[in-house]
Amino acid sequence: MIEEHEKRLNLLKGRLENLKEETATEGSKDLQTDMAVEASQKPIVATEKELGQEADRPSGPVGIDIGTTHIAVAQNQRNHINLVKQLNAFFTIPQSNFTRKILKQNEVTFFEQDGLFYIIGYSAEGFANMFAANTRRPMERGLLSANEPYAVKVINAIIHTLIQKPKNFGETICFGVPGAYIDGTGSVVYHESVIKRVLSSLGYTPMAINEGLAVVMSELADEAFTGIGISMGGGMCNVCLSYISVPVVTFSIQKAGDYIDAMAGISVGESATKMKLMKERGLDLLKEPKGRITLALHIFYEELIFNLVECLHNVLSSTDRIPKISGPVPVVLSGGTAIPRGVKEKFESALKNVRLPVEISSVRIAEDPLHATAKGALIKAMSEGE
Amino acid sequence: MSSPVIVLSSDNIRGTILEKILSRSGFDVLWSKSYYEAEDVLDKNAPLVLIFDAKGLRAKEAGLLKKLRINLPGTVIIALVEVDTMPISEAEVSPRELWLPEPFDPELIVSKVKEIVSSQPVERASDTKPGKDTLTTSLKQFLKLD
Repeated sequence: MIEEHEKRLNLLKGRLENLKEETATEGSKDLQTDMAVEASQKPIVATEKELGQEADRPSGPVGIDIGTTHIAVAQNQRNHINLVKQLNAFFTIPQSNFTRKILKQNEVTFFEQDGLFYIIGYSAEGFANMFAANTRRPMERGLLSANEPYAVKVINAIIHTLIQKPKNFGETICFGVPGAYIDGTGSVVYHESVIKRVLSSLGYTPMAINEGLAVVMSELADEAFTGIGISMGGGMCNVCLSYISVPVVTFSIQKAGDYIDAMAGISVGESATKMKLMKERGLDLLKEPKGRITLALHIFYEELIFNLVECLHNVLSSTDRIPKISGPVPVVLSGGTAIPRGVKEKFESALKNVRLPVEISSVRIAEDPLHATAKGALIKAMSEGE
Repeated sequence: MSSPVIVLSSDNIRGTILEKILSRSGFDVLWSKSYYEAEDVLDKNAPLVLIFDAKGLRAKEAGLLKKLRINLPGTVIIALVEVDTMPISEAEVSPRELWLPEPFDPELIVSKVKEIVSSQPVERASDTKPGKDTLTTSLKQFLKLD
């Protein structure tokens, strides 16, 4: 009886202690949120990691986007968001003392494993071109690659080229993670846990954010972080319906830019790399396609967008989680696959074919589509970090 | 505006939304995922408003609402209910209770909380009697924050 009473008393004391801490930090939390909202209005200044450039030692919260093709780190500065990115790729060459010397002289980032040099980041691209081969990726379709035994080591090494230990031990770092798949396989749990371990070992307090929600955090401050954020990357599309920054519905599909390149390539007998190049050379979905390559790209872009909107309709229609929202909400598209002219219009057109349980006010492209996820992760780290 | 509101909801999304939207409207909110977790606080400090989210409530837990009515006679209970599945009949609703059926409407809930709070007589400091404090006052005293 006494034990039970003491147990309950301790429970209450613990809870009240928490409340005391919450009350004491209430003011600073408000300030944190204000600063985060202010940061969301700032422009992004992005740079690629240069050879020999030392990794930053952050003195504040950090946002990190660990994507299939790039890893980008965002930090808040007085007048802008500073973003540094590195290629999320590697290339291996046989180990030798002579090569090691050359690599070191040229400040190439690498590590040694099983008799091979693992050259990482942008340097890997240069070596791949030199050997007329392709770089390898530690990630596939938005997740750690199951086919690369040293994927974690590569990602760890790439992150180390971008950030060192923080100035304040335990600094918050927020990283983007995909939502649960509705059309594929792969474990988001494994991916998220491994990335958390990597970041913790660097001295940070990691927190995950759904990539779709990161887009909302980056772009929808004026709408009280309410709307649909969609990140259309290389390996997958991530979707989040957010209500006042709470991710109400999230999901992902394992079809995105790489799918368009591969399928269009197969259809016309060209390599996916060539299709990607054609796509990035200024594909315009509003113009009539000229030639079979552009036609194939148009067809698979339309198919992807149609499929994405159909999934959005199916998921939103089958959930009872959506709160009553008083007005229409915006849709924001981001990621490299959202860049070509006409994506917004194609999306709007596909939306006309479905009846969503939430009314849509507008469709727009993120201000900086390639970097919205990292920025959104930073906003989250700033507003909800310790 | 600062008034004690307790949210009892086992649903992470609904609980988080209510906590955020009520905090933004200036209310002191405590969200608890279970009755057991909130029991001590409720026993010591009856809130002005208790939001009782009955979504997913099982029949054997329906007794909770009845228990809360008895234990918190001065509290207005806002019950969020799925009328078809709620294992308590509407006829049993107490006069100091408000049933808000699905769909979940956070803005409506905030407006109802505002109505309830604004309809309460303003409490002067001299009127405060020991043992009958508001949740905030008691907590502040306990924590020696004043």
